[in-house]
Amino acid sequence: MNREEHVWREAARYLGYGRTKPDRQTAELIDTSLEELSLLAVPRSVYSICTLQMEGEEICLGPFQIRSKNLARNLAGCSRAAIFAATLGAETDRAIHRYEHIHMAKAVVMQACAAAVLEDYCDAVQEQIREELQDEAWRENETQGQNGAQGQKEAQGERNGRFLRPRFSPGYGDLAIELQRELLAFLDAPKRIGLTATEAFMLTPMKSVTAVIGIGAEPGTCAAEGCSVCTKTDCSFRLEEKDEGGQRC
Amino acid sequence: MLKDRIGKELLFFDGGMGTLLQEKGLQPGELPELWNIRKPEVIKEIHRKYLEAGSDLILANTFGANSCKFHSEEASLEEVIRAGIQNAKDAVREAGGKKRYVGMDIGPTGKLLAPLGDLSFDAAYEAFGEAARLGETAGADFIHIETMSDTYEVKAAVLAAKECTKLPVFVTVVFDEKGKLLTGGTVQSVTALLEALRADAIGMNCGLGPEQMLPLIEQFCAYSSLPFIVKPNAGLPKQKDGAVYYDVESGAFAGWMERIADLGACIIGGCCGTTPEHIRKMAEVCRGKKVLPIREKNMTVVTSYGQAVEIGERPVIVGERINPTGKKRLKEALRTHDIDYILREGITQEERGAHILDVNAGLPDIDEPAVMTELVRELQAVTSLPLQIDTVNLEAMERAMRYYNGKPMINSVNGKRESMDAVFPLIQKYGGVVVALTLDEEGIPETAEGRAEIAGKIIREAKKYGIQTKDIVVDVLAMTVSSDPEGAKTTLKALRLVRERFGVCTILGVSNISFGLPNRPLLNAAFYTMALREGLSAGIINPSSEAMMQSYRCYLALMNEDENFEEYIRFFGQQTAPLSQAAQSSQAAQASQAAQQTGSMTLKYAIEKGLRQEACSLTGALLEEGREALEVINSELIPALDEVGKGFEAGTIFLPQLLMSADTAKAAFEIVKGAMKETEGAGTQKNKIILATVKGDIHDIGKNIVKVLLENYGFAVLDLGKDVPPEQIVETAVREQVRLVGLSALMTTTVASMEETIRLLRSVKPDCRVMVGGAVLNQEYADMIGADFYGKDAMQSVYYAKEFFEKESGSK
Repeated sequence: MNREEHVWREAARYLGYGRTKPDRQTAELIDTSLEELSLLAVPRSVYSICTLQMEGEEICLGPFQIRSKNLARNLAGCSRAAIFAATLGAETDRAIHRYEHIHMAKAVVMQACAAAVLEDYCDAVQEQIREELQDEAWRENETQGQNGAQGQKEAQGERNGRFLRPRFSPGYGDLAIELQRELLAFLDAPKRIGLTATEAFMLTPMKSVTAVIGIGAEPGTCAAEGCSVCTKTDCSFRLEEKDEGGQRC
Repeated sequence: MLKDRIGKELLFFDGGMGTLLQEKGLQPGELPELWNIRKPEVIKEIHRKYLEAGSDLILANTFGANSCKFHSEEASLEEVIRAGIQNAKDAVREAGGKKRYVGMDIGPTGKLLAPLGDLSFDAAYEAFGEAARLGETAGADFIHIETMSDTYEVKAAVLAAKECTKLPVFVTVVFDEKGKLLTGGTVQSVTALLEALRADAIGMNCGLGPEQMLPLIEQFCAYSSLPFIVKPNAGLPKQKDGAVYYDVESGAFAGWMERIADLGACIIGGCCGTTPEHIRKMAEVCRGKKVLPIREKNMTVVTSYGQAVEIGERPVIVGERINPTGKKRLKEALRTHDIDYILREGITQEERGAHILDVNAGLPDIDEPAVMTELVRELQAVTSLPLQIDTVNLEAMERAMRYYNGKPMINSVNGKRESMDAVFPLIQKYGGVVVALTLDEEGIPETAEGRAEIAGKIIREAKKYGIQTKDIVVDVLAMTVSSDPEGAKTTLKALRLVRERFGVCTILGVSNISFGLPNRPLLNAAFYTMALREGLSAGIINPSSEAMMQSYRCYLALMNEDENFEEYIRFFGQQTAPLSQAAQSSQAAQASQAAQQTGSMTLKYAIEKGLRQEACSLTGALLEEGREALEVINSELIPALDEVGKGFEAGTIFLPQLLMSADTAKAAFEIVKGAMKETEGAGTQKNKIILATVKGDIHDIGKNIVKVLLENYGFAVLDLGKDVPPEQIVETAVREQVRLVGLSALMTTTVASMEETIRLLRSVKPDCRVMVGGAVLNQEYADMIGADFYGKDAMQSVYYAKEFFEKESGSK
C-alpha cells in the first residue's frame, strides 16, 4: 500500500468506516479534502534528541524528570529519546472551522483527513530521524574501526541505537498532559513552528502532535503500546488486543 | 533624538542574546530574564561587547518579560524589567563614546490568540502594555517588538506600546522562506498593517539567515515606506547532539549584511547565533555607508490576517450583502443572533468573486457596537477577505477597528466637520482605508465639480492627521436616476474628475442607480460598466448577481486586465447560448425546472442520500404544488431524518452521511422557512437549548455537529461557542428561560469546568437539565460530575432532547 492509499484509508477509519468501504459521496469528500489539504497544510516539525535514564517509573529525559509507568514501558531498552513536535499549521484549523458553517459533513471529513495527513507527516519525519541516526551510527562505527578498539565498540552499541519506538504523547496513558507546555518550551516550538498550548494544555493549532520517541539498540516490544494503555474503554476506535498486535508490530 | 536619525543614517543593532546566555550556562527551561538579577555582570558584559563592536542600539534582556510568559517566585516582572534596562544602561555608560540607545525588548506571548488559540486580544494587549510601560519607566529609549509570527498578536503589541508609552516603536516579524508568517500573513499584508498602526521602523528578524532573507528584502522594500530593520540569524538552525547551532561565520555574515544594507535596510543587526564578532565585522564592512532614501509607496491596500488587497488599476469588488437595508432575512438574522446565516452570506460572496466584504449591522433595535464587533471577529475566523466596516455608529466603528485583524476599510467619513473630527482620529490610531462620501453640511452637490471640491476638502483635512491620500477612497455617490435623470451623468463625470485631480481611488454603491425602475440588474450592470470605464476602483455590488459579474469580467477582458482571458474563458467559455430565462428567474422557477430533472425522486430520498441540489428543487416544487410548509416538514423532512438517524444507530450509516443528510435537510428547511413567513407569519414557538463548549476548551466540532442535528429537529439552539465561562452559560439560561443545556469537553483538563458549570446551574437554575458529551467523557464520568445525560454520539442528544421536551409538554 503506498502512502497516499494509507492516508486515505486511515481517514476513512477515523470517520468510523472500519471494514466498510465508504459510500461514493463520502469517498468524494475524502478525495477533495485531501486535495485541499495538500494546498492548505503547511506541515512543520521540530525535535531534539535527549539523553535518557530510567529507574522504574522515574524517567530522566534531557532536562525533564518524568514519572510515568506507561512511558517507561514504552522506552524500555532505550538510551536516548527524541522530543518531538509537529503541526499542520493554522490554515488547516481555519479551513475546518469554515466548513463547519457551510458544510458540516465536509468539516468532519476534513478533520479526519487532517488527522491522517498529520500522522503520515509524523511518520515521514520519524523516518528521517531514523536515517539520521543510521548515518550517525555509520560515522561512529567508522571512527571506531580506525581505532580498532573492540571493547569500546561494544560499549558504544547502546549509543548507536537506531530503532525508534512509537510516538508517545502527553495525556496518553499516565503521561501527564501538563508536560505539554514544557516540551513545547524546550523545543522553542511557539517560535520555530508556531505551535503553542492553551491554559488547559491543548495544542493550538489543533492539528498538531507532541511526543517522546524512544531510541534503542533493539526493536521495541509491543507490550505497552496502542489502545491498551488508554483509559477510554468505550472509544469507537479502540482496537482489540489481538487486532492491535497485528497492526502495531 | 532617535526618531530623527532612523532612516537617515545606517544604524547598527546588537546580535543574539539567548544563544550567548546558553553558552554561559543558561539551563533549558530557565527564564533568561532572571539573569538580569541573578547574573547582572554576565548580561552587562554581553551588552558591553556589542557596544564595543559598534552597536548603536542594544536590546535589554527582556524578550520574554511579559505576564503571559514570565512566571517566577524569585522576582516580579517589574524587577526583571527594571534590572534588565538598568544593566543595558550601565553598559552604555561604561562603554562611553558615541550616543547609544537602549530598547525595551518585547517578544511574543508564546500563545496563540483567539479564535485559533485561547488568549484574548485584550489579554495580549494588557500583557504587552504592562511590559511596555515598565520598560519606559525603567528608562528605555525605544520599544522593540520582535520575533512576531502573527498579525493579530503584533497588532495588540503595537497598539499597547503606542497607547501606554510615548516611546518610538520598532517592530520586526519572522517570515519563512516563502515570505509567510507562521499564521499566514504575507510581506505586503504585514507592511500595510504596521504602517497603518504607525510603527516607527519595521522589518524582519530571526527564522532565516541573511542569505535566505535576501529575496524577501526586495519584496519588503517594494511595499514599505518606513525605515527598514533587518536582523537575521547566523544561518538556518542546525542540530548536533540535541543542541541547535548556527554556522554562518562573522565574515560571511558581514558580507551578506552589506548587500542587505545596499538593498535598503537602514537598521541592521543580528538575531540567534550572531555574536559580538558578527556585529563587529558587520559594522566594519558597512560603516559610513549611505542609506537609500525611502520612497513613499503610493498603494491603496487593505488587509486581513493573511492577505492584502490592493485597490488601484485593477478594479475590485466589495460584496454588499451583509447589510440589512432592504433585506428581510438579514434583518431577522441580526435580531435573532443567527450568526451562521451571516457567515454563510460572507462565504458565498467570497466564492462568487468578492475581494472585500462590506459589514453593516445598522438596525435601530440592536446593540450595534457589540454585534458589529462580533461579526468582524466571526467573519475573520471563516474568511481571509479584508472587511469594510460600514457604520455611522462611532462606538461600533472604533470597537470593530480595534478588534479587526489587519488594516480594514472604513465606510465612511464625509465632508461634514463633525464627521471628519470624529472619524479621522480613529483612522490615525488604528489605520485603515477610509471611504470619503462627497457630501457635507450643504448636502450632496448637484454638480461633479461640487463633489470634487468636497473630496478635496476631505483629503486636505485628512493630511492634518497624517492620513495620506492613498488611504482615502472617494465615493462620489450614485444617485437614483428615476428621481434625477442627470444623476448617472453627474456621478460618472465626478468619478473621472476626482481621479484626475487628486489621483485618488474611487468607490460607489452601484445599485443605488436603479431604484424605482423595473429590471434593475440590467440597468445596474450597464451603469457598472460605464463607471468602471470612468475609473471606478471599487464597486460595492452583489457578487451573486450574474449581470454584475458579467459586466465586471467583460470589462477586465476588454481592458487587458485578464491575462490570456483566463477568467473570462473560465466563466463564460462553456456558455454557448445567451443566458437562458431560467438562469435569471426566481428561485422557485429554478426549482420547478430542476424538479423535472429529478424525475420520480422523492424529497425523502434526496434527504436520505444527502443530495442537496435535488432536495432544494423538490422542496420548492412541493411548495409550488400548494403543499403546506408544516406538512412538508412533518411528512417528508422529519421522517427522512429519522430514517437516517436509525441507520446511524444501527451502524449502517456513518457520520459523514448523517451530516450530509443533515446539511441537505437544513437547506430544505431554509426554503420551507421562506415559504412559511409569507403564509404563516412568525411560526410556532420553538424549544430552546443552550449549547456550549466549556471554559478552557477550544475544540468544538462535536458541539457543532450536535447543533446541526438539533436544529434539524426544530429546536432553537443558542450556541454560545467555545471556551465559555460557567457564568455566561448560567446567565443565558436564566435570561432566556432555557430548560436544557448541552455541554461539550474534549479533555480531562476541561471536564473540571464542565463540573463547575453544572454545579452553578444547579444552584441558580435548578429546573435546568444538562446533557454532556465529548471525547473524554463516558457514562461513569458524566455521573460523577452530576450531568443528567451522557450522549455517546450526536444522535443521542437529539433523542434525549426530544424525550425531555415531550415529557415537559405532557406534564403541563
